[in-house]
Amino acid sequence: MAYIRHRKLVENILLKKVLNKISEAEASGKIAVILENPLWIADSPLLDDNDLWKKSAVYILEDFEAVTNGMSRPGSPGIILEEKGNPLYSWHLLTNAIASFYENNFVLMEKFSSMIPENTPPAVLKEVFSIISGKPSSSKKALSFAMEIFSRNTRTSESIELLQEASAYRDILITEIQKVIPLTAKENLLSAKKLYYWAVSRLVQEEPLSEYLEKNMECLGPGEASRLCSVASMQTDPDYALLAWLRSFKDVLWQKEISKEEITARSTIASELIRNVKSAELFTEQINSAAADIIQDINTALRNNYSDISLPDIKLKLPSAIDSEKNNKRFKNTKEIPGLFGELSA
Amino acid sequence: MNINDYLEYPYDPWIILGIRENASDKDVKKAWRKNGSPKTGYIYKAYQLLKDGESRKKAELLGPKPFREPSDALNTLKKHPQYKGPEKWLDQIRNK
Repeated sequence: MAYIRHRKLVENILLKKVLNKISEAEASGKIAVILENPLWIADSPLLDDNDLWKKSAVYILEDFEAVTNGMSRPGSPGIILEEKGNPLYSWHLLTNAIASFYENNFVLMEKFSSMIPENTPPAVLKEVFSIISGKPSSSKKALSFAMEIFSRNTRTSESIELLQEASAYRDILITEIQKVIPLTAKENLLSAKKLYYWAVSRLVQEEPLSEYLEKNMECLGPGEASRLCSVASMQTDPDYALLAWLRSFKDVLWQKEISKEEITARSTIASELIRNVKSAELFTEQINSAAADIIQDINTALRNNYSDISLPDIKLKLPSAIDSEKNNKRFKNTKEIPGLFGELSA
Repeated sequence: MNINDYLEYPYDPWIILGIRENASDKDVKKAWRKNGSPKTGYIYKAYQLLKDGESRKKAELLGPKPFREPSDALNTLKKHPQYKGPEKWLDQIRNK
């Protein structure tokens, strides 16, 4: 076994060094290329506790343990870990490369990795650092190790896989969405939206969506769950799509600042959804009333937060939502409000 | 372009034209020309869906395209360094 043989060789070289049969530089050079574990020096009975190499090895072991376990690194012992004078130099560089990796500083990781002398045992990990930096590799062993130490969040991955299995069971799928989407949103917001869209599209194939699905989805951003539920329902469930769209519009207006272009685009789409509901003859008094309530909120938000935006175009986008006698009465007293319903209630 | 034009377009129009989401009118036209200025087909449709600011905003609000399968999300997740202790690292060196 090379490992045991190398350990014995290190002991022999240390003995020669202690007996002054070999220079320190020569001993360092010989040990550096076979030192597969700093413990061989840290534990050597041939060196006393004040020996520079022994102190270096003890420090490296503590540092190595700390960086690979996510603990605080030990303070510098003031040891000079120079290349020629200390056989632990490559281990020092390796520890720094590993520390940089765990700090997500891959530039520094590569810098330290590139400094590790090629003929020393820590150099075997250069390939792993290279893979982590995104470079191709033919080494299966290095690839496998890189995947082990640099991987996706297991809980999120498993939850996503579970979502696939749950897709055949509506109730389970609804429960799982509540767990998976927030986890995914923490990792990648766009993916969380695409995943949520997939799930609600799947659900809408069987029966109409419910407002419940839009709840507790703040992780997607203001109004985003309602917007995606609306988009998923637009071709199959126009009245739900309209109300969800309006809820999204209202939420986004109250919770963040959006551009005039976005307000216009949201109004244009709302207007088209209203036409769809009307053409499908689904515009019941209940839908009409619910839509008008939300539109009234939208109007208030626009008045309160977007006073600098000229609204005449937007005013014209949503007239049909309130063209019932009941709603005309409701908005009769809002004539003076310079918002969406100012003209409509006249 | 009405809602169905956006919803029924099967691809991400930005990807089809090879442009970023913050592309300008000029960028969209340039991308369409770069693709041979077709007057029919998916590239032309993508161009129509994104040709001006309002259209792009509508496309944005009616997107993104959903994943085909949940597993598509896996490849988009960030990778994180996993703490495995010193032995795993030392084994790599020992078993080189």
